[in-house]
Amino acid sequence: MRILVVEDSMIADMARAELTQTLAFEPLVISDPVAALDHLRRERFDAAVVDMLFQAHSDEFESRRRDGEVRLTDARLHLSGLALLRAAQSAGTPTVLWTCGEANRRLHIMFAHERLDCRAMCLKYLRGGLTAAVQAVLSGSGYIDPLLRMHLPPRTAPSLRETFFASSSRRAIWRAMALGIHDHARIGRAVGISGGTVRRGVEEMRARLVAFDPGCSRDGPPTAELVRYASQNWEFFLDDTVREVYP
Amino acid sequence: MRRSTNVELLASTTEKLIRPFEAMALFLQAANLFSSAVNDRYSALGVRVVVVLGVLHLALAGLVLPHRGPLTRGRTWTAAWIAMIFVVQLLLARLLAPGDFAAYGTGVPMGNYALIPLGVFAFYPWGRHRRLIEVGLIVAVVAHPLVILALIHRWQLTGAHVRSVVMYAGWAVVWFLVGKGIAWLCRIAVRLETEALSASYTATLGDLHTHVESAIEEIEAGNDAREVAHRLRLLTAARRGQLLLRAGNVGAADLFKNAIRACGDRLRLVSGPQLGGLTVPREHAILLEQGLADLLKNVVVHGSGSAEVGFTMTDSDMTLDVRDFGPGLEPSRLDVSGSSLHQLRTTLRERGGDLRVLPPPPGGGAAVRVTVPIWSRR
Repeated sequence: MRILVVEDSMIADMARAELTQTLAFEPLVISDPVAALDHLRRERFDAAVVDMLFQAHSDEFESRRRDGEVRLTDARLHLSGLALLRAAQSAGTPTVLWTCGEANRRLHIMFAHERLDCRAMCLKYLRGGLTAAVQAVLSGSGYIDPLLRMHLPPRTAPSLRETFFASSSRRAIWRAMALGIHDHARIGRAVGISGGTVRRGVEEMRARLVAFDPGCSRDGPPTAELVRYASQNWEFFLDDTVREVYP
Repeated sequence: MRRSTNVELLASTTEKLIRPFEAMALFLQAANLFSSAVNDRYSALGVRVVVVLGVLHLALAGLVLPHRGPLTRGRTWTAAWIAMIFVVQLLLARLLAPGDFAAYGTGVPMGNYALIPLGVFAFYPWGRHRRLIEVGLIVAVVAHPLVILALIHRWQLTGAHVRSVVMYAGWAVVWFLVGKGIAWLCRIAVRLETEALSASYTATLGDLHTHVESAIEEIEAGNDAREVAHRLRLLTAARRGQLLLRAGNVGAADLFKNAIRACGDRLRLVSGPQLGGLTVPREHAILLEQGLADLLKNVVVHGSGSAEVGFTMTDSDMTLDVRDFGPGLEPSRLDVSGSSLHQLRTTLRERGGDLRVLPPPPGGGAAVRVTVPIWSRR
């Protein structure tokens, strides 16, 4: 039995200890997601346990984003656990998303469920949850921690695809806003359309956002609300895998 | 171009401050027009035109204050404002008594009309071409009386004309520096804001470290580790809650998770709501957090420790339902003065919401409902 655990914090030791004790075999623990991607492509695993955000990668990307050094055309955008989930999905490896479920992972969790068919999610720092989730995927069933289930949308809510990824220009506008650009003309330049086209599109983008998240404001200038949302969720809008799936 | 965190914060702070300044600039321009109608020599028609222009500026100031002004609306509106400044001054120079424009060596009539917005333009973060735009604006403001004089007198300037223009140029520089002074105040405000935020994080972290260290000492001293862990969990949840509520919009799932995790293994969640990407504006999130904490505590203490939680949010209100499997809850319990549920109901009612006990659900237990009206959006 081969299990891969991709986790960059000290809690990886807890995962190793828990799986070794309860399932009687020691998992391969990798802290670097790039190395883990390589393992997933080259080797065969019975299951993979994947963290969502990796501190070193996120910090380095955020520093470049703040310095204005990130371009939407860069070869790689923000690397997250979504890349690992996708690689595992391609290799036919069942996966467990292992996350603390903080606010900046909210859209990632929904994307993993909606687009990458991830059906096993467990919360870190919860005794026994990881074992239950790994056992579930090994037996071909799903397991979603009740607390993480709260991140999944109600049936009536519009999907991420309908809300954010309906057209390539809308996707690019969201990404430009996540870079911190808030001027129609500059967004247009970054995206390759005119500032006027951006201005004409933002009202509908806001309407879709409000349908997705009724807590967002429908008053005031739409661009300000969209930029606020994009900046708050930059890890998602600038995610490399999200761009791969929705170019 | 490298943009640090503070540069981004400075840009956003300046953007927020610029809106009242735009209205103020238009208001001062209106005052300047009324003052000119009284003090400068116009024909009867000229006085009427100047007064009408003043009223229009006043109306514009009133419109800009609750909405947005030319600078925050984008380049086209900004260009229109700048063009309006020069056109109005040309028009007024034409309406003045012949030979009166800049003829007394004391400055240019209606000079402040252009200088007031110049102060705001100096304060505005123009972006990449800032220096070029600022120099262009100063040159245009200083040169336009010369253009007017050239049109009126065909470059036959007197010493008084030159003195007037030089004095006006001096005032242009002063107003520009006033604008720069406001920008400087913005930078100070941002620095203080950053320092306060940083101090607050340091204090929070220091506080957490202290609690963790004392918990370790308690466990080492042989105290009940489970009890120590429970206290630490409550503290962590409280701090996490504080951090969550700093954002303008708080993830609903994050609020629920934090409240449930604070109860640790004393609470078993039988079913919870699927909230997806829903966020709650901070002012409502504060009430929701308080309601959740009190109701879940009630489940742990009186209701067997198992709970079903439901939540819906519409345009007009939020509804939180909590059901437990304990012995039930008499509605009169909400009337017991001093109890946490009574206090919660009082707080909710003060804000137009309510807390009530629902009819006992099939299978026993208690069901309570919190409603919070959505009273305003940002």
